[in-house]
Amino acid sequence: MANEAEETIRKLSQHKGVVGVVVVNGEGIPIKTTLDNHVSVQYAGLLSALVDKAKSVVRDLDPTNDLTFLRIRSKKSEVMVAPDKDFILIVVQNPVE
Amino acid sequence: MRSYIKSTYEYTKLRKNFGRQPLFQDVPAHLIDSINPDREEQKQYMLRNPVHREIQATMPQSEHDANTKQLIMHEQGINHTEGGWPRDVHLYNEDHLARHRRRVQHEDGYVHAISNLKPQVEHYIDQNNAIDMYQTYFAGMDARAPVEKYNVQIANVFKDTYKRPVSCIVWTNEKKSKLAASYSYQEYTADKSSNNRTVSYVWDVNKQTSPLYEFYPESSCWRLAPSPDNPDILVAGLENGTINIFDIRNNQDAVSKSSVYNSHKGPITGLLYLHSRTNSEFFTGSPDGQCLWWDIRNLFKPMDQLFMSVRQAQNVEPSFSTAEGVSCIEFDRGLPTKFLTGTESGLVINANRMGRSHSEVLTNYWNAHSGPVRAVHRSPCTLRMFITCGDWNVRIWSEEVRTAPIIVTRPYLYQVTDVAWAPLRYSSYMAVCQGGVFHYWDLLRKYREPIATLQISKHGLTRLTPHPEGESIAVGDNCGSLYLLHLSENMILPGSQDKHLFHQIYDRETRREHILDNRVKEIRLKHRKDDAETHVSNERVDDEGVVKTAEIDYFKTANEELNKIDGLHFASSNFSE
Repeated sequence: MANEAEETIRKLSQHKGVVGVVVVNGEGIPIKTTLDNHVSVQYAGLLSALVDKAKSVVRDLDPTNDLTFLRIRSKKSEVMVAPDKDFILIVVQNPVE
Repeated sequence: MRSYIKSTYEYTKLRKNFGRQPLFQDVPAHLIDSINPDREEQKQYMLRNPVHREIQATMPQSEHDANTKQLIMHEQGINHTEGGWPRDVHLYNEDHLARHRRRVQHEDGYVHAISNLKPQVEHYIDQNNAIDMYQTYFAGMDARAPVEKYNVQIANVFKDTYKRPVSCIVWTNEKKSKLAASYSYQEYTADKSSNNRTVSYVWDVNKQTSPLYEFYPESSCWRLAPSPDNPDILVAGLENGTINIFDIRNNQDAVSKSSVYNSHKGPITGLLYLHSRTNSEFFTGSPDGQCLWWDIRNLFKPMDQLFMSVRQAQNVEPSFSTAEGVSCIEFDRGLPTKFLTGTESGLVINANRMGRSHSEVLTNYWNAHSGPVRAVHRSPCTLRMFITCGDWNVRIWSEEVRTAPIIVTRPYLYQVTDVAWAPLRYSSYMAVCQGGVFHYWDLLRKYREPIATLQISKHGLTRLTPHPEGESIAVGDNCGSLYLLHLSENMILPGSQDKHLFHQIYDRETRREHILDNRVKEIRLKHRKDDAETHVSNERVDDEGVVKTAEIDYFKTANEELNKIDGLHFASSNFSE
């Protein structure tokens, strides 16, 4: 089972354009990452807060609604965040030219 | 629609069921009862000592408590350099970190979470790889000018029961214009009875079954003119050369007529109101060669008369024998003393009423067409430009250019019977022809062909009159049908630059004609001079000598060229080896 998860993460990181994949748990520690520690910790800390804020925005506007996905497009890359109950999955991808 | 629900309940009750009506009487005051104080009761009470008492005037308030959802909070320390590791894991101990991580990875929750999130994330990764979603779409495209769609529609048809060709259509000068139409056979036939029915109609634009009014001129009516101030007065020019005035409200016969002796000797082919303070003057033209000016109040005899003769010899007096028959006239309020006439011989004569002698009055003329000029109109854009139609052509002329039209379009397949400028749109005009087709031209948009044509009728069309506001066009045909056309808005209203651009076209074409004219004059002058010279000198050309020198020159240049080519060949053949 854990191997499956390993496999999945590896495959995701091998997609075209993907720079890195980070899995962060509810307490903000990066459990599994393909980037180096320093960068992962930064992503984990910053994005956890952002996901919480986004979730509260969606639920405040409509309590029956919930956040499913968050995409942040910047000049150099795109960060995609998939929130779950206890974990968040972060994928950083570079745009295709 | 939902039915109305009453919100009141009504019932009736008879007055006798209310009870006896109280009848009041006015009586003086009288004591009914008096209760005395009971001393025994009083002894049980005593006055209290005055005490200080505080009270406060406040809003009534109440307190109420309720249970809300319980929020479980627990305190957690966070190391701000790195996320919330549990207490027992030391940050600087690599082993601990790795062990903790592996432990979490083996949890069920972790594996499920990953497998649930995977498809979503994969979808978006692929999407990003496939297309660049965030680019500005259509950023590189230039804005295109909007396409102008031209639409001509037949809105209504008014039929004449006797199927006579339409001879004239006018719009009355009022807010809700009516159409006045006259019918007559204008071809010369031996059978005079075909024009016995002279009834002419005034149509309401919305009602096509029967005309609003009918009126009966004495003989068949060739031209109509609406009065500028009174929409009920119509002036009719008839086949026998007289004028009839009709008041269409009152009766169906002419209110006043001019006498046959003092009117034209041929049918009236032009009838227009003049610009005068009293709005009571109009003038007429006819193939008998004269133009007559009338006052509507007194039709006994005309106020003024003019023979339209331009091509007579120097000293010959203008008279019927030298006059050209008038086939159409044109008058514009902007030039109150001038008018244009088109003649049966194909000339357009420019006349100035303020001239002192006959030659000053008929200032100049143009050779416009090979047959009678069927219509002349000045342009609403610039008064020095006018359009004429006749035989198979429509031509646009400038007053400043005497020799040729400034704008000519391709000849039509059928004879053009009428032409008119679009009243509000400076660059457009419309033409109708014997083939039953209506052409709408816009010289700023397309120069070589009309921008819209419509086959209106199987029979030839005779007249074309646009409404002064441009959106309805009345067209009459050879079989008594009067068609009302509607144009789309871009054919009625001008574009913002149209007037300016059309002025430029006019200036450019006029200048072109001037230049051509000057050049032709120069060439003619030169030829005349040359002719004069060659008569004097005796010239003999030495043909032989010329041929010899030409031969020598030719062979010399040919040899030079051949040498050049050989040289190249030689050079290239060297390289190939």
